Amino acid sequence: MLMTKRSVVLTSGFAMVALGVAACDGGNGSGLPNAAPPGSIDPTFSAIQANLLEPNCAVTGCHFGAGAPQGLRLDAANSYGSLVGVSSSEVPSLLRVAAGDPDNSYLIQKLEGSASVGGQMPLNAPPLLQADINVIRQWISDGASDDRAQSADPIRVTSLSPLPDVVLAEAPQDVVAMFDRDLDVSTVNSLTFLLEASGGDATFSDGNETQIFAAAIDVPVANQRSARFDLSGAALANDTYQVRLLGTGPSIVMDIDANALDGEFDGTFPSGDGVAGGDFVATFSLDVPASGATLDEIQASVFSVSCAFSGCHSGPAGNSLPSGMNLSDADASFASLVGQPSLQTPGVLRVAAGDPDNSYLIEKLEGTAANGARMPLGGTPLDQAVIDDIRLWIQNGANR
Amino acid sequence: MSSRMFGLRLVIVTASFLVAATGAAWAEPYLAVQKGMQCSTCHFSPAGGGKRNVYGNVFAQSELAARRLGDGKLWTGELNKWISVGANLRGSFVQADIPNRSTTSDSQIDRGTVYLKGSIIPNRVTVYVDQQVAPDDSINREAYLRINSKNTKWFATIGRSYLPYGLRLQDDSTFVRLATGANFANSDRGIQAGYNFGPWSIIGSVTEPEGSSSSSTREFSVVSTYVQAAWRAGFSANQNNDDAGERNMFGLFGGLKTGPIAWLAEVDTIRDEISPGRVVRAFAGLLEANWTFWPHHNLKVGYDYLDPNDDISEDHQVRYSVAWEHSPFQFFQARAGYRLYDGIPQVDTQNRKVFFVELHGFF
Repeated sequence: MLMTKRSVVLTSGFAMVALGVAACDGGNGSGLPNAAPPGSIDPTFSAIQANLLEPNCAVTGCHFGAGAPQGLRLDAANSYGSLVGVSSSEVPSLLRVAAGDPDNSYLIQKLEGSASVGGQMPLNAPPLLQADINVIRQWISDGASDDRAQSADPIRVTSLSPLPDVVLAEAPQDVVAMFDRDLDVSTVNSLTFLLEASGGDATFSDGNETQIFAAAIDVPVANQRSARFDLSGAALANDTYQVRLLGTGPSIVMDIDANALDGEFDGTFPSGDGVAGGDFVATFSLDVPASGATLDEIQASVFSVSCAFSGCHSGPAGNSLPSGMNLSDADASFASLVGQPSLQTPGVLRVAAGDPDNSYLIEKLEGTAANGARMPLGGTPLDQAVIDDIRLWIQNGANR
Repeated sequence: MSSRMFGLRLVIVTASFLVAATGAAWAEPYLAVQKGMQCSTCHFSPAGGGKRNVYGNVFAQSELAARRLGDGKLWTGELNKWISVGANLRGSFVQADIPNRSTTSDSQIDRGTVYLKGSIIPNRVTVYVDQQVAPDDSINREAYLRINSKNTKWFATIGRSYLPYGLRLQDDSTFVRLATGANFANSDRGIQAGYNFGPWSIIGSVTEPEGSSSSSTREFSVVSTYVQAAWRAGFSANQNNDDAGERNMFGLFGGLKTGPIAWLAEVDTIRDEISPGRVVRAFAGLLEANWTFWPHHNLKVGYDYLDPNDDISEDHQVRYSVAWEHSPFQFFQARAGYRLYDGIPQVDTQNRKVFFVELHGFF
């Protein structure tokens, strides 16, 4: 078992590479539909497809795509037609799903492990819970009907929340699009449901846009005609936002019958021009009023650092400037400013609560006062955004 | 001594000599990597797996096992000049811990198979059958007629066989085998041909996918391997164009021996067009280290990765595995291990923990 020096080096190198590779762990599932609790699924084909067949069977390498074992494809577009009333290729005397007869349905036998041929499904994975298999049994007992509205028409967007072109004063928790038919849940994801911020210019073609990432993108089990872009945790700034649902390209939104989205939107729902394809594009804006800074915050960020220097507005309070307008701490600033007449222009209050335009403090900071120089004297004028914070504090009542 | 008995003993002695001189491969690719040989050194199937040939049987008794029980006579599987047989039986105890479920444990027969090889014209024309006989009803896994060229470099088969693709791993639950569908659960009817030229081998097949919606559907597969004493590399490709969709796969794989450790790696990309305009691309990977830490004892550490849809950023799954393997006596292997699955939280079974003990008898 002794190793040569070369082997030690090679082994160590590969072990480090292996450890690096193995540091990749599983996905967090964002953008994928939430799972229904075991046994809580409705005994309908659409619910069974979305909650059981799609995640457990219609996966790469299994009953999916051209290489599906026994030719049995269980993706949304092919599943019903491959199961109900179709003979099993392993046991041709049995139907995969014999409507009304779950005991003699090969699908049930394969899921319960009682089939005479081959392994229990899902192969090489734990079996489904009996509670979930019982849902499939119930659906078969009920006649194995297809509750989906079969259609060859393209799917359309029927509404959007937030409404197109709305200006919101509060950030939305999510963006929800409604459709006129059940969705193929696997087609609703971060590639087909997009949200972008304009970058502050309300336009979306100049390259300064920012993509907003969803905490999750899902099709709620309770309403498979809706798609939800979860904005939990997203800090949306005041801006214009563009919602896009793709109907053109390699990844598109589709319904359960594999019909593509008819997405063109001219401001009137439903979307579409009658021809499959085309992206749905709508915008909304966010204009949340600033909540305003407190006097303590203004004191810390403005007065203490720009005004209350020794020899300037640093006290003691009195009737001589500049020390008499004492801005050395928040209490002193409040006492010196709010409701106090200006010494330079006595007819104007330094801070007129609720009226920033007629507050002498603002005039001095913005350089519009009739007397004296702009403040801070000899220094760089404050940014207007900072002055606006002070304006807002005054507008909000100039409270202590 | 009859000429037939003499011939048989000559085969045994030759095989024993080769085993003693070079070691040989077990039914897993890592052993082939450790020994620097092709899979077909020990298996009748050119791509590995299935019935062991004389060399493989002798190795199983003289090299693989910690001790040899019995009277010392070697089993070769050759009943006579024309007929040889073999079998596998795998059973397991599995304890699974799945979120939101109570822990389950189960003992079962995983698979029992028998092999029959009939040499119609020895070394040139052969009939081969691999039949699963347990559990439940019998299933044919492979059955074909094989013709070898006189110099054995060429071969061709017609019948049912496994797809030549990737590493032929015993463990069908690895993500590379699950996602590609190239595993012991899938075999198709068609023709297969192969050629060996020095360290290179190439095998290609044209098959009719089982259950295809159209009898005219053809699936094309190819695997090529370059084998050296301490390393190997290869590629695989597969194309399956059905009425209901099209699948294209491409894979790279390799092996490397560093001292007592044999490394295996495989990466595969799978492109499925399941309906016009809807394409799903998946990616699967395997990295495995096999450490012979003591004679006849192997520690297998593996990492599997699967991204079932590269359009979705957070849907990938990984699997960590560790297993100890030991063959205490000939034709018997025990394996115990632990597998930790880590996938999306919405699917509980993608986050399971599995403890397993497997017993494997074969000849």
